[in-house]
Amino acid sequence: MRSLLEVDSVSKYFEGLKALDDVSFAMGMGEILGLIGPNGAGKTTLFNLITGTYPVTSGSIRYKGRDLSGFGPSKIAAMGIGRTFQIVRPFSGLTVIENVLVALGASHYPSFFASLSRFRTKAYLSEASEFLRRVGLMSYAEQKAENLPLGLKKRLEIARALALHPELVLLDEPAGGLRHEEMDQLIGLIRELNREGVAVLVIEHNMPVVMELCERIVVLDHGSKIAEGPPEDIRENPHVIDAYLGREEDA
Amino acid sequence: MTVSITIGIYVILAISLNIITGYAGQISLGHAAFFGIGAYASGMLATRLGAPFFICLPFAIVVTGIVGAILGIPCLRVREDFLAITTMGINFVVQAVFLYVPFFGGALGISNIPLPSLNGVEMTKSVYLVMVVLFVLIAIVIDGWLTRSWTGLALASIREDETAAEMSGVNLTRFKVIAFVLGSAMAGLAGGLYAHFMSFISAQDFGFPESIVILSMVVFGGIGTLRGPIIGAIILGVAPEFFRPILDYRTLLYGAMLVVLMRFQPQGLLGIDSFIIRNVKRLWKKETVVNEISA
Repeated sequence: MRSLLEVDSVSKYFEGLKALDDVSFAMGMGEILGLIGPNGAGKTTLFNLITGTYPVTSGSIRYKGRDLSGFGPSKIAAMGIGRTFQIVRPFSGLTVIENVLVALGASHYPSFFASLSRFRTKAYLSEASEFLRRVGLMSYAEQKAENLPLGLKKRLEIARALALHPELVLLDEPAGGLRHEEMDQLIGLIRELNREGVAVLVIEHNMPVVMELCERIVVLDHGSKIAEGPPEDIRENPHVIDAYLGREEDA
Repeated sequence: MTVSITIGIYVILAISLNIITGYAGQISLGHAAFFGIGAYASGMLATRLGAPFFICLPFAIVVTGIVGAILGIPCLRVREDFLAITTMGINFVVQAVFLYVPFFGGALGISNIPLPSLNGVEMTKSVYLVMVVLFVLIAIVIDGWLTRSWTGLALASIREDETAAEMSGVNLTRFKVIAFVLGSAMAGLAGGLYAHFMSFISAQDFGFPESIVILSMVVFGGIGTLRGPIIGAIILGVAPEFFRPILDYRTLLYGAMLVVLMRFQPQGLLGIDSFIIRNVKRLWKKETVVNEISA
């Protein structure tokens, strides 16, 4: 299995505050990897490092063998890493299909002249519609994104990420705030994407979802990796039970 | 005639500010600075070097565009309220430079800027008006093109959510600079047209109150649309002429109007989902339904 994403002894300090400390793991093509840990463990920070929101303090992140340091977020997105957010961030004032079109334009934006061409052409609209159809939002295409309920906004974010033609998608708590049937549909959707070859790195607090979805899990606590392995091993790992489940009982 | 020309210039200014503030969502309280830079660039080239109008005007556009890019850089690192204050500061600095640096004529400003000539004959006011209207149309075409292009979509995504835009492949720096340059260059065009029409310009014409007047026009008409700034500039441009007595209270009135508008109709008169547009759409729908039934 060739590595798609390699996180190599990555550390991140925020003015002396240690957010991530020497974290390493690798992801293969088409894998679903779960990223779990108590609140404040550094999961979202890791996402922000992978997407280039901030630079790593030390260590390196490689995507398809290329070191991502020095690339800005827009460049990394265009390279094929899509993401969704813990608290949804659709382009509220734009229509649903325009939300997807924004990401579809990623290949045009670096060229001044390509950026001058029209985006509402038949070809782009039908391509964007295809992504909406896959997440089941086609009937909402011309609605303002702000009018969608939370579950559909989350699907919209996934469609937007897919429009980057990604090989890796980072999902930040996709099941958070969803009702049961919505959650089941979402799991189905993620599975389907994965079958089409998209690798998924998912942060999730809902344990049944993680256990069901992921082939492998990385556990973070206080910025350090404390365990890595298949779900059944993680469930019985004493460190994880101490750090993760133990803390939840406290709270 | 004079009023129509002034309004035409205001329409260009409103359209240009709308690109920066309405489309890209970057609030600017200093747009008059770029209006002034265009006016000074064009006026000084004409009076100091005797360059013809049709060289002065492109010069004004290019200079203002370049300055827009340079002054846009400090604006890239700040957002929202901090950006408002930064752009306001830029306006004061630019105005002070015009006022205190002798090279720019100091308090005396620049005078005797010639009207443009066609075939050696000085343009009449009516010909000048036709030219201004032509430039308004060009501005409208550029605006229309922009909103239909990937660039326009990228700007809209930045306005809606910068972080999500970045994660969708939109380079924030690049597109903000494009918005600043385009908006500034267009304001520079308006400045050039203003300078040659007025023949005399001074730093006072391009102060902070002027920026607020331009912003009022954009907000009044409906920010983020093309029709909004045009209608806003026309109504607010014409109003003082019809109510001569209020001329002195113009800014006071604009200020009060902004307060009322923000409270009751923040989308502006003709903005998306504004009262008027909603009702027009409803009537339109009713009519089509009626037509369909009768057909």
